[in-house]
Amino acid sequence: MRKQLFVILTLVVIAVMTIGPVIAQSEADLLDPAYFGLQEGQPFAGTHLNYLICCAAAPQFASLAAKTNEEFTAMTGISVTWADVPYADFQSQLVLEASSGTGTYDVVSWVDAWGPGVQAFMLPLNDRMEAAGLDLSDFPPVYQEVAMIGTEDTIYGIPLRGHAQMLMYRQDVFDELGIEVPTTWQEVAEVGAIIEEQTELEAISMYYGVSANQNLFGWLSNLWGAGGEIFDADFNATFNSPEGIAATEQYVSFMSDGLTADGAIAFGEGEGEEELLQGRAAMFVGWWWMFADTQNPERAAPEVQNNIGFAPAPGWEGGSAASYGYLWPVGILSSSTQQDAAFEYLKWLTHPTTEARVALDETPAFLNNVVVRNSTLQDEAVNERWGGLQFTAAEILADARTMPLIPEWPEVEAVLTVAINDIAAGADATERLNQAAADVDAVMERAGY
Amino acid sequence: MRSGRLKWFLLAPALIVVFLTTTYPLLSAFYFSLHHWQLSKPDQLHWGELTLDNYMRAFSDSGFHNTVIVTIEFTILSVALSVLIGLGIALILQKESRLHTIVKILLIFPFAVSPALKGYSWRFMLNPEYGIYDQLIDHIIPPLSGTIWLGEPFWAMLVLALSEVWGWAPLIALTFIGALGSISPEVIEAARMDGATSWQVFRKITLPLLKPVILVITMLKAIFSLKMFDQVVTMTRGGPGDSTQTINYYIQQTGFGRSLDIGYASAMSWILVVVLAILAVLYIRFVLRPGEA
Repeated sequence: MRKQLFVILTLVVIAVMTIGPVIAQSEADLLDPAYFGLQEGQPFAGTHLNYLICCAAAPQFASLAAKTNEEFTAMTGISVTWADVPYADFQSQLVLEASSGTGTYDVVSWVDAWGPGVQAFMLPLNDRMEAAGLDLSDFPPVYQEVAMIGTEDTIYGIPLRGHAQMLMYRQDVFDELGIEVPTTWQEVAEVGAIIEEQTELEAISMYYGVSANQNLFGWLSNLWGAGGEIFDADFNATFNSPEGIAATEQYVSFMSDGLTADGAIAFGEGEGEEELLQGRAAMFVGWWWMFADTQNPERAAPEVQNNIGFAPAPGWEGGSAASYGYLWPVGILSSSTQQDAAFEYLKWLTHPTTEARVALDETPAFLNNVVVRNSTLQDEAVNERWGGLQFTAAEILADARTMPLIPEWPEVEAVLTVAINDIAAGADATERLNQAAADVDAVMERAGY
Repeated sequence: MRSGRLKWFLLAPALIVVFLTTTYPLLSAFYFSLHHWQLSKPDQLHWGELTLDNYMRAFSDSGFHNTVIVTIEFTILSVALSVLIGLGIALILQKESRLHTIVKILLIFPFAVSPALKGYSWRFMLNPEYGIYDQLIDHIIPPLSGTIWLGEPFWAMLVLALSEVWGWAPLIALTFIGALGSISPEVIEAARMDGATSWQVFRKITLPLLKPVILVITMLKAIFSLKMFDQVVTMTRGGPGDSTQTINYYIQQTGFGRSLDIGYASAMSWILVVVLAILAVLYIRFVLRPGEA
């Protein structure tokens, strides 16, 4: 008895000595500059940084902004203001601030396609990252490409917010109808016809509107999957190839076949997502960040909450499943007069621990599944919380691609988004894509290609 | 002499503000329009190397031509509907009564709503799944049931114009109410005594007397309509396709969206400025013409 008690007591003491310091160390770590690779002694105390970013209500950003005030500022004495620019104005604001060089903003994020437009105004981070022992190896290849804005070796930003394309579907509907989760767009159409016939739901929520070029996201996965490309090696438009035409016709077939909402012709991404969240559609192909919305009682209808399955975005029958890997890096403007302090912020903002904590935060307003590092994508705790979503995303992102990272891309995008909208509204795909190709070639010729 | 200098001294602050906020930006934009300047390629900008290429490009740019047609269509539609509906409201509310007074006060609210909010609200209310306008129209006008308002070029242009009319017609109505109040009642009474019907009174007396006000309002509304931007951004994004892509929206997208081409955007802006200046000159000459208005 005494011996047993002695053993138990010994075990308890050992447990307290190991677990106790671990817990204490974890909590202390959050306010330890050394843990995040930050400079000790608050050398930048009193510095104020302005961060140009949009959509502060996005759970990931709201969580990061709150933790910035509670933890980063407490550690370093550096305060940060997140500018909450509406997404519709984000690009123009970014371009204005970057090109004017006023130094109003120190830290900026940008959408991948906009990178080449602001590349000339971004501070290369290579030296700073090397000195801090950092690199981009912990990010999927597509995110590395975007962070370097398509260059071979110049790092302009660190991945912050990135998305994999996923198929989200009503698990209950699929179980009831006994249908398999589709893996190709052709299977989506087949499954969609069954759903349309046997339920009151729209088979799939699509969005073909010209809102912020969002109708290209799904189109690209069709195009690449079918073996089509936007440009050839000499930057001549090739999306009007037979593969491109077939991909486009498949993409818009949900509209012509009555498998999506009538209003999809004018829907943007948000409206498309709402069809799933409000229980009107059985499937939706969108960004994985939307999965958190399906679990949020403030966003999703009761029959939808926690009733959504996920799978990689569909590929192409006989082709591939390459989808668009969307990324917002974070970087520093060359015009910033507080570059060192700004880099301190980047180190904390993009630290693996910060990222994992944001993904595990259960505060309703901060529910977020978005992570970008391979290590976090493979993190057991994060995947357990989100039902393996990050494992699936890691698979998708390993082969994901990005849009052409050239300064002319936004203009090309504008031509394509209108063409896709026209085709979804009933224009002949071959004729309309040929016209779009001619317009794109004119853009490229004017740019000197 | 002294009073002359004093006059300029007192006017100086206002003139400086006008110069800084109007004249200087206009002249700068003109200077930019004479250069090849893309924000994403600052190393390709050579100040002083003037060129008219941007203006020549506008004349061959099918995208710009489309926006001119779209803007003219929108202007005609929104001006005609605003004036007609405004006049109709004014004729209904011209009689004095407590109810009419309350309605007149409420009329100002649509105009006070910001154009961007108008666009977002109308987009939401026209949603075919849950929009209140869409549901109401489905019940009141069954043949229009199922119309995708923002999905078809004709309807998208119409609702874009209506969103503008929603804000302007009440203000125009208030202007007409004031003008109607200035018409001598004896003239109307005399006509009635001669056996004129209400329609004849309106056509032969009221309308001719309102003509100067109608022309002023038409011209002012046309100037504002030519600059349409906010609701295109928030309601249609220039779609479906490019059927609601107005000049101002195209300019903004060219300069800060698609091609970051400040030179070309500035050239198109100046073409619009010239057109608006012509209208403004006509407006000023008409308003200042003796005996009219």
